Amino acid sequence: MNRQKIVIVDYEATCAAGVGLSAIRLAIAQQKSGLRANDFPGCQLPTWIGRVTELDAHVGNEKLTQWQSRNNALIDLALQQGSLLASLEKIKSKLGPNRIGMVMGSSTSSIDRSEEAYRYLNQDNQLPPEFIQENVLNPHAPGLFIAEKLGLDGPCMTINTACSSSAKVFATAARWLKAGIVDAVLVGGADTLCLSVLYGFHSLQLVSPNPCKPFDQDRDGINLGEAAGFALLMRAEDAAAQNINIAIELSGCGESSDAHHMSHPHPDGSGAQLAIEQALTQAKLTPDQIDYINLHGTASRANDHIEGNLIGKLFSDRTLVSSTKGWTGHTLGAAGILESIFAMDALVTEQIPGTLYLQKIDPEINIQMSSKNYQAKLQHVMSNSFGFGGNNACLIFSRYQGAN
Amino acid sequence: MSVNQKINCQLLGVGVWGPGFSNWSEFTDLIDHAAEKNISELMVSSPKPEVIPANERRRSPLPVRAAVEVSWQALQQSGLNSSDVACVFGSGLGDTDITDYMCRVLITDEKQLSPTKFHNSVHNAAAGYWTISTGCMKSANSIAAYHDTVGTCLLEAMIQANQYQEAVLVSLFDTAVQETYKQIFPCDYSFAAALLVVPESYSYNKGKSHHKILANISMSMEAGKTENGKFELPELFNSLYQQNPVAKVLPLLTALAKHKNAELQFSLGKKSKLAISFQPEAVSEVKR
Repeated sequence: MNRQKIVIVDYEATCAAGVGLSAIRLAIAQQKSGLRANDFPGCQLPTWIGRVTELDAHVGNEKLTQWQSRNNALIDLALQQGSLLASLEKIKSKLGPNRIGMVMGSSTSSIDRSEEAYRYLNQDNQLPPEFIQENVLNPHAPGLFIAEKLGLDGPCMTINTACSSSAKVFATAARWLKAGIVDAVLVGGADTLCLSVLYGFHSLQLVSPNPCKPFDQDRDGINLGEAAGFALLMRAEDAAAQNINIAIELSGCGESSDAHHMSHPHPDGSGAQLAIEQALTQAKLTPDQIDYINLHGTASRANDHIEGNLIGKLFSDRTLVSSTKGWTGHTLGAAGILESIFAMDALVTEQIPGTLYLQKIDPEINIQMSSKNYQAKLQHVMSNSFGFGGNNACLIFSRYQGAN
Repeated sequence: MSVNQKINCQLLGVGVWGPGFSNWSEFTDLIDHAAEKNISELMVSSPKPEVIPANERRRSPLPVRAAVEVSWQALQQSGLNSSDVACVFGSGLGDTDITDYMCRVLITDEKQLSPTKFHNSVHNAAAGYWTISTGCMKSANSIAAYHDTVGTCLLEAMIQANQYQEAVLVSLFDTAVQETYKQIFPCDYSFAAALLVVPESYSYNKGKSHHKILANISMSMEAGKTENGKFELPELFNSLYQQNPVAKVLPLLTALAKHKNAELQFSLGKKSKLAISFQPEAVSEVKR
């Protein structure tokens, strides 16, 4: 196998905790949650949500033309943050648009737009013409929109494996770069709040009426949230040749299946364990070398019990762990990249988020964590993502220390 | 800048289901008699994948049953164990019946969704049912790339097979679109196909006596749009090929059925494509 190192050249995120990475860093430092009592239009469920309030001004914006949807509006807003587009343009001008791949992750794609369209169905079950949007109402909508908007001509696809979607984008991008079929890959994830997920998770009795409390003994379910995040990946030698300052390496990826149940995790966490072990093997690291893990930590009774005890079994107390869902809610198909960014940014800021809203850890979960943030210089960090269908992904990011 | 090398795989298994065929031998029969047939008159059977337990199968939607059925056919033919095979599922449209169901419920006052339909609504439902039914704990992907779904799934599977030296199942499915969604996606015919590939130097697990290689596949990425009409396809399949995103794989299946070499192109993005040299092999067998 090709041993070339894959590095992260730039990254950005937008979620309820902040529009853009600098706002998110501030929210982490101040322990300021982005969760709010449910005020999503058309939804009367008693719950809390991670809504990007700034997004409202962008939904329906005319410049989205035939690409109208809440999901595309969030993508559009998130892409404008930080230096991401400037970094991409610089690389594009050197490599050309067909040497840059695009891998998006999403679970809802733009189903928010379908929900809206059905409110205008006529008596013959037909939609008004403005909703006949073939490139928005199919599950590849995020990939199609971004390729068109940014003029990316290379291979382009959208991974739809529910809540592991935008973690798996990193694994695919690394394979594409190692195979040499492209020279850079823009990966991303985007999911927006919509009635399908709010009422869908409600039907599974997984939605909490309170702010979510991951790993707490009194946790009573998840809060849904929305987010979009992006990262730009290259081979280390190519990035170095372009004099790009490299801070972070993608050192390991693991992907596995539970083979257990569509919406309930494997009781032993054995599928998740496979993904974690595969990522460690690929990174050539032992569990004790992992300094911080951003857990999936949804605050559902089952996930936190199974994941917490698995981590307690595999890792010692020297590895710091937390769930950041208390800042953002569960952002589903965007959670993989959003939480990867929380983890990799801790390498840069040396600020490690605690588990917001945690009061007393569940005595049946054998793991140590607190609601407080930590300060520490880290070398290797991990992010876990688990989705419906028993779909698991685990990523390891490391402080970059040169090509060898 | 790196050199764009060729990536090679061998095809060990194939599965198909669609209008007028529910397995590979029915598909080859249909290809042989394609000139006498009209697609709208062909019978469409209901896929009943026996690998899904009966109570689960009744609750599983058509796209899931179609994808799992063709996957099972390909796996059986390959002689491999499901636990050794990673999978890449692909669908350009997803399950439009469930999307339609959810949108209809969500315009009612109660908005009461069925929990089973909700968890079946994920694009990776087919991958989930497959891994659960066969006990496969390997990686399972679920890719949407609209009309580029076949190209991106083949690309993903062949790269993964070579880098991890593992067998990869590609399972492609898109089903006919009903009523409201038909306005957006006029797809009249359901179709599913599975291809099971291994890298050239794949080390077979012990316990199986032989694995028949059906074809050699060599791919590379090229710039530009795909060129039209550079492949052989019975006229019978024209509308299926045009409408159904994953039916873009039909020229490859036709070449396999006719034991003919083919140079094929599959779109990967706005201006990039997968160039595939496809060489069916009639008699070769791998013996250990």
